[in-house]
Amino acid sequence: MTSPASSSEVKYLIESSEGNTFDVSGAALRQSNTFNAMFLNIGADGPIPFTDYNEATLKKVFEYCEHSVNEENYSGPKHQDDLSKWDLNFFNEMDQKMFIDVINASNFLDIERLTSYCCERIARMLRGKNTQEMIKVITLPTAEELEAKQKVEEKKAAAAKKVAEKAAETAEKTETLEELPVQQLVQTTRNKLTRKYLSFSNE
Amino acid sequence: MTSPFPLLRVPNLPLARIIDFMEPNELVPLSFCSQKSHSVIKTLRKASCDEHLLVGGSEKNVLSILFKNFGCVLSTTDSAYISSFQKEEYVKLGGQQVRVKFHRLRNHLITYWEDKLTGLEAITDYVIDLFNIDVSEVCISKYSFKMIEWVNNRQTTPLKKIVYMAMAWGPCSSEDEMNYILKDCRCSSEILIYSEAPPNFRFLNNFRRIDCLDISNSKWVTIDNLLSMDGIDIILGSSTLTSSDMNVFLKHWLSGGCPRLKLFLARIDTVDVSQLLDGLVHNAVLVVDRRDYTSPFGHIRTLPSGVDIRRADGVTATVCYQQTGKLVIAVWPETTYNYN
Repeated sequence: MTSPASSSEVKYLIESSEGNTFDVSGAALRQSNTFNAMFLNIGADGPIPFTDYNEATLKKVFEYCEHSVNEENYSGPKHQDDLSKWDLNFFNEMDQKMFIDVINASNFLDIERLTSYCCERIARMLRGKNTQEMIKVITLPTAEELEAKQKVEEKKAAAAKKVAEKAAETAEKTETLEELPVQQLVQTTRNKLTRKYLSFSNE
Repeated sequence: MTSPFPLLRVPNLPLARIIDFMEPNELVPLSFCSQKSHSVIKTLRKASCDEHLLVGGSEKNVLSILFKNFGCVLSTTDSAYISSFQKEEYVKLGGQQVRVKFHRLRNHLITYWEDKLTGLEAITDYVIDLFNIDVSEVCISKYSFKMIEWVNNRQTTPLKKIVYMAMAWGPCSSEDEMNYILKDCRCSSEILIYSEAPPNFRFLNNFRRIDCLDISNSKWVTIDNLLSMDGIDIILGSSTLTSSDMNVFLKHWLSGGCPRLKLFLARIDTVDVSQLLDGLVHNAVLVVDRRDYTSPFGHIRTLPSGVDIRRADGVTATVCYQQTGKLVIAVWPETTYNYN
């Protein structure tokens, strides 16, 4: 059911990328500034299509919104140490892929509280780490890995060059062989003519 | 969540939020991770308007870059101090590979250089560029003196504060250095000289307008020097000024000299009250109430008692000689100074 009513009892249908639909309360949805800007006043005639995100991600995001419906107005990020047990569980049970999907969806839906907590959580992951440790955390190749990769690429390039040179050499040889009978023919003809001319002039 | 996280695949908006949650000392090692991480910090980070960058240091072997109100973000030290047990780690800085170590207690990177002053220039360049911020303060010693000029040549905004610190075992500053700091170098607000001046040093020029002048060893400051000052906070340690000199200065202030003055503080061995207030008694009101006074540059003094003198425009100053040997002139009302 979709309607522009502002009561928290109102349920909205959300459509995911799989084409599945599910209910979300108006109160939960209103935490999304994107929803507020697009649908709150005009309502929606069918399921609200958030089809860039899969059902699992959207359900996770709105699970958070449903839970924080009664929390006081957002006033800047909470320190992670002040997060409730529920909040901590919510974040801890997400794997890496889900966490990225939730940040993306929360960013698109402009859910201030959830986006802030996610961002602060990531910032904390990098705290107290040196460059090498950060490279591992943010899954960048290390200098050694880059060097090894470069060496492999150089080897590949050298091998490819060798193959190309060999191919060119073979092609040149074939060309010479093909040309040989013609040249021989020309030379033979020339020799015959020379000999004929000489015998004629001697006569 | 402790598993790896592909940070640079996060969309720009939340990525900017993540960067804003990170402290400068965390962003520096992140910037060394890759070209992309460097450019992301450079472009997405929102600089706070109350950020001030300090360069230099008073430690014997370490020169640092610090954010005021935060702390050190990157430092430089002599490569001779590298421990042989230390795991080798390098970062690309200023076009060269530089050996670094992460200080676990202080949470910042230390870079190692053959010449740590060259290192300080390189890391200053790097931090200025990364955070898009000019240097506000330099804290220099005789060894790093040229950093004042180096910084001033690098940026259009003049330095706000210069702190010249002589090391305890180091030689006193030279006349050229003193003259350069007092007369020539570009500095818009504060000059603090915590160094012994050369013997027989005299400053023969007029003082330029310096908001806060703090000279820890001011034996060379004469009454003529004092009369040419135009400051808000003037702090003179180990002064040779006499009660009569201070009387001249008070009359100078009463007649409109040194108009911006808020706090004058000089360490004077003995004060003769009759000389100090000679010709001013008719204007002096004894105050016995204990009062606290905070100057625009944050100097806090307790005024146990004293005399109030009033200028023709109604502005009142309390003159107070403390048992610690300090003569204080505190001009009312208290005001705060906005660093920006």
